[in-house]
Amino acid sequence: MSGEHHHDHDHEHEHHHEATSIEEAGGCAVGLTGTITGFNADAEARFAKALMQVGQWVTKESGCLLGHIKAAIVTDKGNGVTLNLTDLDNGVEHHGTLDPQEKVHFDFMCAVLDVDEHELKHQMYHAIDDTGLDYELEEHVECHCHDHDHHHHHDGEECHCHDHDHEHHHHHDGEECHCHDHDHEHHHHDDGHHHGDGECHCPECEAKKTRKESAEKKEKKSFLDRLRRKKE
Amino acid sequence: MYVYILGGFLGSGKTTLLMKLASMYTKRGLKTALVVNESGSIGVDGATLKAEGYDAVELPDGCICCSLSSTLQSALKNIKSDIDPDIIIIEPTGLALPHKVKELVHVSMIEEEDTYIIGVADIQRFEDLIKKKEQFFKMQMSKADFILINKMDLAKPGQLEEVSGWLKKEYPDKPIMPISAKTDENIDKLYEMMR
Repeated sequence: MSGEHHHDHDHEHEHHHEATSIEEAGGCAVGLTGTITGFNADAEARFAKALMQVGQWVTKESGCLLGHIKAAIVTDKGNGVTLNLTDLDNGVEHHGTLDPQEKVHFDFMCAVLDVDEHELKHQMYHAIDDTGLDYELEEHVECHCHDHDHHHHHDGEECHCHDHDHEHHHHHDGEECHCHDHDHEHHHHDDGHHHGDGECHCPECEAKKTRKESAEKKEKKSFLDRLRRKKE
Repeated sequence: MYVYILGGFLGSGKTTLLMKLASMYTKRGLKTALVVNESGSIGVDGATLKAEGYDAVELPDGCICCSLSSTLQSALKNIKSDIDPDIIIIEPTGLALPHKVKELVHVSMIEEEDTYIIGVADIQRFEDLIKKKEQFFKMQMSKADFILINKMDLAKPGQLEEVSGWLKKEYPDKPIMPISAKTDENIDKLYEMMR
């Protein structure tokens, strides 16, 4: 026995994350699944349009469509049609045929390069929504894009609704956004003015301010009154 | 038993080729098993194959060359013991590295010399792919036994020569053949090449 101890495990362990091939390629894959009520040739065409919409977004985002966007629309028995988009110029390829159905299942998937995975899912969700189909997703996708009231402006009138100095962002499913949890209401002004001092002097705001001040005074008065009465 | 692995980027036409090969082997009277893999949680290729009358083992939600490697091994072992096919055709995702799949096939008790990688290159998007992901494409093709230039029916004038030239320069020892899995151009020549 030499008396020497070999400390085979004395070296520092380094944990290496071995990149998956998807990570290595810089790609991502996203899927949405759900049902469509009232399927027919028009619904198939609308769904194909959703694929094109996502394809156009990917092309805009990454410069070209490297990857594929697919959908399978099937009955309970598993028969149905599949849609495949790999090139915007070629358009969406349709495989198989399906007679009009009361209800069908759909799988919508997209595997592409150089786009943000969550943004891609968001775009896919919007593309389905824009089809106008009577659809239901299996997974709850939270989107707050349209959670505010839309309004319009007369010609020449400016809109300051989107004058935030923060960037827009998105949230994972189930995650809440507190960015807009202000306790004040947004409004716009017909004369298109804005405020450098952070205070708004429009008649509505001025009236609100007066009401608030008089309420505060009233409250102060009643408090002093109470204190005075107590002393007496 | 022979195993064919279809390696190629997303949208290069692997599923269309898979269906052609499955149909060809069935006509030859050979028992053929199909394995399709998709990186998304939702598998669409399985539905495509089913719509066209083929049955396939679907392995979605990951990549069989990395995150789903053990799933592939058990699937292959089950196919071997339950079906015992003459041919297995594996279609990994378009983001998989086919040589890693080949290693896993070998681990699953299938002889390495009976496993072939067919590289599939998409002529239509070849330029974009090389511009953006040349290294990754080379990794996908590096261990291919032969390379098919697919979608030759969509090639622009001069494009076929350009792509073949590039591939021949990169892979001088590999047989390279233009085909169209969709319109069947050169598909008979491909059948002759395959066992």
